[in-house]
Amino acid sequence: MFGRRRKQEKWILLAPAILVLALITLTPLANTFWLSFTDTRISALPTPVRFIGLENYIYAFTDPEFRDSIYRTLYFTIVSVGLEGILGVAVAVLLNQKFRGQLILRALIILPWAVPTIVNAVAWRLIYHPDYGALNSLLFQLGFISDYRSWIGDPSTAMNMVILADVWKNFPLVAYVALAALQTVPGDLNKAAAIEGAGPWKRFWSITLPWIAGPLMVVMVLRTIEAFRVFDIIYVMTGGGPADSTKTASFFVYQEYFNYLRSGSGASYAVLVAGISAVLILFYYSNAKRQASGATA
Amino acid sequence: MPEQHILSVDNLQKKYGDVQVLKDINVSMEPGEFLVLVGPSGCGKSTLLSCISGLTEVSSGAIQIGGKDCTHAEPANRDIAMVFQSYALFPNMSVERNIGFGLEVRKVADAEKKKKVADVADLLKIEHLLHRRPAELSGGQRQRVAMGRALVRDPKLFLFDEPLSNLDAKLRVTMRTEIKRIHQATGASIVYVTHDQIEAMTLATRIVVLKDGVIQQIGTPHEIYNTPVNAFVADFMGSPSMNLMSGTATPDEGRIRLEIPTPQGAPIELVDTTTAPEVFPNGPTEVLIGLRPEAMTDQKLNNGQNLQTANCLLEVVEPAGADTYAVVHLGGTEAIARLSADAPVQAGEMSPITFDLSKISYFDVTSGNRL
Repeated sequence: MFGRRRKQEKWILLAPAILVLALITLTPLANTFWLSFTDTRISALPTPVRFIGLENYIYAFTDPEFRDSIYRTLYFTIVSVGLEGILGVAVAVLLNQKFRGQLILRALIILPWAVPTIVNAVAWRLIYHPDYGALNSLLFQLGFISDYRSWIGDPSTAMNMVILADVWKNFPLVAYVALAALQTVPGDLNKAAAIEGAGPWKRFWSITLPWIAGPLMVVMVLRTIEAFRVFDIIYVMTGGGPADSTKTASFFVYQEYFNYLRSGSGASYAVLVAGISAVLILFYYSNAKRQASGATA
Repeated sequence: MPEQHILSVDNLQKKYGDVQVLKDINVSMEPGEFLVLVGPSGCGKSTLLSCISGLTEVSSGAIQIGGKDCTHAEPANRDIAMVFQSYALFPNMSVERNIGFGLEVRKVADAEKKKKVADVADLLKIEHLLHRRPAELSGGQRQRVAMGRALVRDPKLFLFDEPLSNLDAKLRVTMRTEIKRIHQATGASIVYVTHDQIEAMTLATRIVVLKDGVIQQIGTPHEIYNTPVNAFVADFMGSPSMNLMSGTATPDEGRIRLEIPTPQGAPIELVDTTTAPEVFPNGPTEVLIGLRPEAMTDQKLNNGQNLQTANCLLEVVEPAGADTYAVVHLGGTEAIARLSADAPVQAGEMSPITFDLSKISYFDVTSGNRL
């Protein structure tokens, strides 16, 4: 009998939040979407805006540079998130053991993640410095290289160097979530598996990993979304260079929009990037749902 | 060690830092025995099981399983299976895979694995659950699956760690019977930990009573119940537990005269003609007199040759269906007498109680040891 009133009440209570969301999220989103069908340019002078239909999209799809930037972004995302996952889980398993100084180490490991991305990028640029970088010095002294190299000045190594910096900063987040999940694994499960004859590897794959899969999936989704729209670390470390070798999709959109001032076509690229992200998220989401239906007890 | 022992534990010690959890444990069992480790919480029974399983490293001593020294062997190499209190089913696997996990690890061929799992499922009546996940099972069903996982490998020794503690009272009784049935059907050798003395009495072929890491007594349920070695075992085993009344025992002309004080003033006087008077070589002795509630009754007993009747004040009367329990203040304790269900008794009245002194136990007042 209160059904109708309840329903109204719900909307009234939600209204402020919806209003704020509409203002700060939906409006720009809709605006970008609209822009992507026009030939708008950013200009000091008022210029006529023309609706040009799918022209921007047709151009984007046939633009080899944009396609390459998508490939680069996928490479960056897969390699860095993959490494962060492996490294994060490995470190979490180690930190989950009992040893002296365990608490201090657990606290220390989060530090890279606490460093702002810009600071991290600047620090790694210094580490990679061709003349006095720590990496050159280390590898030279260990005898791995005979000459100092310009790690982020070389198109063949630049992307992997950026990935290394990104992994260093972000694997602690994965490690932390994995560690928290590992602490919920019931000890009896591993004991039972040990008595059944399973060795450490088998126990990890059959018992531990499935148990932590849910939380791990969440952090991997977060990292994937972040990695796919990577911008700041590239802006600071390489500026998309050398020879476009680190020019990812977000950077491409940024240049189109703010360097070449073509906000219409820039918007169409942005919509495409968002679309690809959405596909990735959906893929993860369905995967996580499948996992969750199995891993609850 | 003779080969017929399926398990033998010799001089086992377990210390955590300065705390000694298990002291000089010596137990052995024959194939097919159902050995129950019982004791109050913290007595070390689960630690002992954990040492036998290999999940806990022993501090010193030796463990042999099936005649093979396993003191430092990995759990996987001991040819054992274990059922946990928490069931420890793998949540991400179906019931079928849970049961077959040990076979999967040992790379048993698929067809053979399927057959063995099916056989065990048949024994436990869980065929219809094979494709479910543990989360979709009730407590009793999980319990069966956990037992299935243990049974399927046909190990030398089964270890059960309080397997029924997480079940409700009714299911506990059902599963207790089920475990007994499986033991009878398979002839498996089982070490079973419980804090529930009724479980111990009903399941065991032999019981090990532990307290503070020390074995108090090893014996058949009958021995443990009727001739407990000390006051602790007498008190711990049996429900309601044995009445332990302070009194004086005086050897007199080949018999023992007993005086048990009552709050009413005049003590109850009984004469024990069963026990040899040599038990008390020093004349009149202060002792703890142990009598089970069923040896203090209003019923006509025809088995005891040593029956004595005395009038006692019934302080509280508790009808319990099949019996009526009456609380009697005797020898400084609230002794419980087990009367017939329809006994015409009232609280606060004097009533004749028959004492079956052929069932009597004497314990030293200070050490608590059986005399």
